Amino acid sequence: MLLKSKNNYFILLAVLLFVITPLSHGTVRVGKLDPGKVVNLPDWSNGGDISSFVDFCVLSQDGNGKNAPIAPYQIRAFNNTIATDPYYLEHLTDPTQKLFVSWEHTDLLPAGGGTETLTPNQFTAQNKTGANNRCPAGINSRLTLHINAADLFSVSGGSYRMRFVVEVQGGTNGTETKTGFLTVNLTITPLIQISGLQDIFFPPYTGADLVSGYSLCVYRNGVGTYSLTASGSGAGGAFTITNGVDLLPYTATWNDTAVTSNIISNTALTGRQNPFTANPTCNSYSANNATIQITILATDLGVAASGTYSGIMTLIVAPE
Amino acid sequence: MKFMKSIKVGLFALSLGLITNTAFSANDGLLDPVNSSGDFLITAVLGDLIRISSLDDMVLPAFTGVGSISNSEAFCVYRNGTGLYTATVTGDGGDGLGATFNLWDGTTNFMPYTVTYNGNPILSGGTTATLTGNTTLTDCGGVNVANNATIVVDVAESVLLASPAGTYTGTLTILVAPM
Repeated sequence: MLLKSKNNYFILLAVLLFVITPLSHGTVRVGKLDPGKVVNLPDWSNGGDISSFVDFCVLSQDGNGKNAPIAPYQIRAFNNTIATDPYYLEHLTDPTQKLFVSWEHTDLLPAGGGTETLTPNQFTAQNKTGANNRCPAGINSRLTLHINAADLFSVSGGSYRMRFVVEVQGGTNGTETKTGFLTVNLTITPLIQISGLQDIFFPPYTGADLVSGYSLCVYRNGVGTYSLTASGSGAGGAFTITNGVDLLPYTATWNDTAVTSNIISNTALTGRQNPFTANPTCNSYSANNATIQITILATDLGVAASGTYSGIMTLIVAPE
Repeated sequence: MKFMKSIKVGLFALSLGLITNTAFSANDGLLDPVNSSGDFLITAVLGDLIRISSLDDMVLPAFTGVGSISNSEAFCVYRNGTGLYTATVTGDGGDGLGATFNLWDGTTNFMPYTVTYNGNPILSGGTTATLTGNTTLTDCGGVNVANNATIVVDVAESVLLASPAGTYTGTLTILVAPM
């Protein structure tokens, strides 16, 4: 007989312990986040905030078996790079470009703990409602990713990615953990915009050159210069205004806060500097970064017939 | 004789019918991957402008007992666009109290004079026919460089013979207006 031997007795005891021990613990699982899920967000061009969520089942029960009591759990998430860093997506070719994001967790069950914003590498303060028996009530957990438009505008165009580690802690005595992964991909389109344009109405001519202008905003996401191309409403884009019969020529200059340059109609001024990169309106036009100035020479005004002269100037900026 | 310089800037001719883009207002560009295009309206209102310049005080030659005495003064009239203008010439009565072509010796004696504008006789307070001024240079190129109008003052022999000796003065005002 097997038990006749003292050694055999110890072997049987060891086997029983091996079998019994797991059965005395609960279970924690993170559903489809294990081994991992990939979220490909739609390309972002000129939209607003991004908000996207992933629903899944967190199984947390006290003991094994499909009827084991449900156990509460906590959840945390962190970047797969440095756990304590703020949540961000990293530019694939320029790691210095970080798109900051936020995560929040929602307990989807009616008696659940509601929504809680996550802090990197810290378990939620609230107990969440776990599930047993493979989540018979369906999903019970939601992770929502938020990206503010302000943050989206402030980074370069390109592809961004981060693999987030999602960890739950629950089961018997709330001490068991399980880890899943959530990879987020996002492509931001290169963007440029000119704004803050104003009509120009010159004061009456009294013998001196008429000079007027204003500052405006040129935004582009990411590092780089831009080009400016201007045209007037005269023939072939000429810088002229008209009273319907006669023409008055004008000249124009562009200042990009680095240099003032004469603008030639339909000829690109390349290498313009200092585009605003934080938002498309230069902080609501309080930080405009370019100035357009229009001049009508007295020598032209002096020989012109009286009347109201008008014309349209078009400005086109393009990223370089 | 003393001339008063006069410059008149005409009322702005707001020929609103000529404004082709009154409803236009500036447009910001759109946020775009390739380029962004905005536009704005430029407007300049150029009113009628006129100017008289290069006027000088005039000293008539001394009367020698025979013939009238006269002198001329050339000056510049600028008017933008068409160049068309009229001039109104007015004396001050010599004593500054009237509106006639008179010179005054400071006491009780007056000497009437006559005036021609570009060769055409004109009465005090009278207005010329429509004339054409310089349309490109507000000063005709400089002081007395290319004057385009002339006024002549003449005191008749009979007046001179009937007047006591003395120094007579008066002010002549030329008012030009765009047409």
